[in-house]
Amino acid sequence: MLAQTLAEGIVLGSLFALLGVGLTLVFGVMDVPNFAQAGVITLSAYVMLWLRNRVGLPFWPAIGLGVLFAGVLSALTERFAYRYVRTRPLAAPAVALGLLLVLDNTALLLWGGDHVSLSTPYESALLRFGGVQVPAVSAVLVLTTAASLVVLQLFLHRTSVGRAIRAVSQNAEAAAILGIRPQTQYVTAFFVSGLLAGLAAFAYAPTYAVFPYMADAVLLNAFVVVILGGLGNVWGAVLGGLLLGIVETVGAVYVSAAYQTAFGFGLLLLMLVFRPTGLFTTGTRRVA
Amino acid sequence: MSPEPAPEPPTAELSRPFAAELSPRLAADSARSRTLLAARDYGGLVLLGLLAWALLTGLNSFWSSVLASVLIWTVATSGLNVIAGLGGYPSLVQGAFYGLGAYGSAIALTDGLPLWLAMVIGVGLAGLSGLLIGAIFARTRGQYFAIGTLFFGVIVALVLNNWSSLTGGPLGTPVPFVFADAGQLNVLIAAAAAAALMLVRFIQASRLGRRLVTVREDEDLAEHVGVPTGRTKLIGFVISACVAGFAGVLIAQYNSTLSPDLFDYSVGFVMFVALSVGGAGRVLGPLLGSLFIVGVPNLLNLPSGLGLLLVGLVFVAVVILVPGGLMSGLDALIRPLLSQARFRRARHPVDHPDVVR
Repeated sequence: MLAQTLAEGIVLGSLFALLGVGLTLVFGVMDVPNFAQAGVITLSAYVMLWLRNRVGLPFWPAIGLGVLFAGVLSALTERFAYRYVRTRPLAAPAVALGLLLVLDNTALLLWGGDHVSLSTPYESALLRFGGVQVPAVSAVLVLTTAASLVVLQLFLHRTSVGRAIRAVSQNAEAAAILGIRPQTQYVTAFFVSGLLAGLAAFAYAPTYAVFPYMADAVLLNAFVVVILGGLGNVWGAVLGGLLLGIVETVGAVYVSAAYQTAFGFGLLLLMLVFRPTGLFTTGTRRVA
Repeated sequence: MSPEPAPEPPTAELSRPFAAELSPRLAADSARSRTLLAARDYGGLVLLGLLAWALLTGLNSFWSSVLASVLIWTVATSGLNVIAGLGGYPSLVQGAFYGLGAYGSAIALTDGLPLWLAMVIGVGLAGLSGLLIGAIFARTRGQYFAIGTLFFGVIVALVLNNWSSLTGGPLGTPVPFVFADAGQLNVLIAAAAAAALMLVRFIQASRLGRRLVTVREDEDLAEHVGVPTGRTKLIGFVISACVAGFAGVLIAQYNSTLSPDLFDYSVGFVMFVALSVGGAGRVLGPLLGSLFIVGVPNLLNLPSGLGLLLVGLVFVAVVILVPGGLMSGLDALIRPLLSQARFRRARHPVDHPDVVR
């Protein structure tokens, strides 16, 4: 029972971590709490469904195009909205929420409010590890998160584009003096964060339903993760995600499933009271 | 357009006290004009309340119900105007306080308590939650504050949905109607809207209001010059919560039935949108914003998805293009017409635009 619960907590935590990393990347570079990420996830899930069911593409190409779509959409939000409020920190959450309204309701208008499901070729498979049962979709979620984080880590540390993003995150002015164009890095960070959102859509749309507000509550949890880990801290987001996933699952199983999100809120409150700087802050803000 | 280089000229109400500190001659002068301004503003708001009541009574039932929603939202967003408008703190939890006030009063009335006690319970419940949440989140800033308050809105929505024995669960609960007729309720709604606007006008000119503005402009600096920023934010937040609670009492009576989706966590954020679109920190901002956010989609009879889509688009455009909201757009239109105001500005060059934005 406990092992099973922990396994489910890790699955949920991986999802939170995947979302949290995308948020913290954008936050680290541009100080934007990107609530609109939820809208990107939703629209990308719908695009995957549409490509699969209406256009008739095979599963993996549909998913790939859906993920790419999420990246482009996220970059567009930077280009047409966030870019203009970069110097006004108080306006950023407002713009993010406005964009969320636009994206969610676009999905509602185009595809209606019904709950639909994204079926996968492996949806009925069930994996067993000792006494613990894990559905294949959950295993894919964990693997997707792990693979994305490894690739992200390599991207941020081993490529010139990734290094440029980290430079802007640490000090945009100094980076600009050294010839790095901050504007390019902002778009790139949003694009990468969008790709992560698309991967999240692929990872959890099969276990949850697809509907216009599907990502809103999950994204709030991702923000808790980001705060737990310290805004702008990638590995903090990973650890925070796992911690939050386990706390919420244990709370849901042993106390009350209806109040699952409330346990996350409790964790957030405790942390704000006792460690207002985040669990894993290193003193300076950083992306990786 | 304004002749000053500052992007947003100071509102007369805010800059006057500073002028008084700078010169005794101006002090006498400005005390007189302050009284005049107050008389103008409060008088205007009383007239506005009477107009609202006349319209509520005179219009047909459809228009009247749209107007009633707008007025109730004006009350709730006026509360938000204290912490988010004057204090600059993006509180996204106003919808939860609104819901707590509504459910608190509805449950009290169902248990047979008199209206005044139900009002006290509704407002008190909202205020106490405000105190609790404020005590924790008033120490966080900007983004953290927005996320934390949004999350509390989610928790309240969860409780309203799941504590079925008390709230009736997702199906909602009926509310006993305690007025003699709808006319009495109309009087209360119009009076409440005018009173909420007056409250913001009063706070804006008070020491609390000036302190909140210093917190908005530069919290660190405010702390350095001795403003008790933590307490200021907490008081502002609790006032916001209480006013929203009262708006909840009104909507419970007006709707005669409550369901949790009226107080979904997104409501708090749409209230924030309404305030920003109208003009944060301006007395009439909540009224304009509520007219726009609640009134327009209702009047055009848009499907809810399209309505919210347009609200989102307009909101993003307003935040990017007109940071001061509709009120500042109105200023830009009206100001050139008021040659008198321009004359006054020329005589009192000490109205520092940079002291208070």
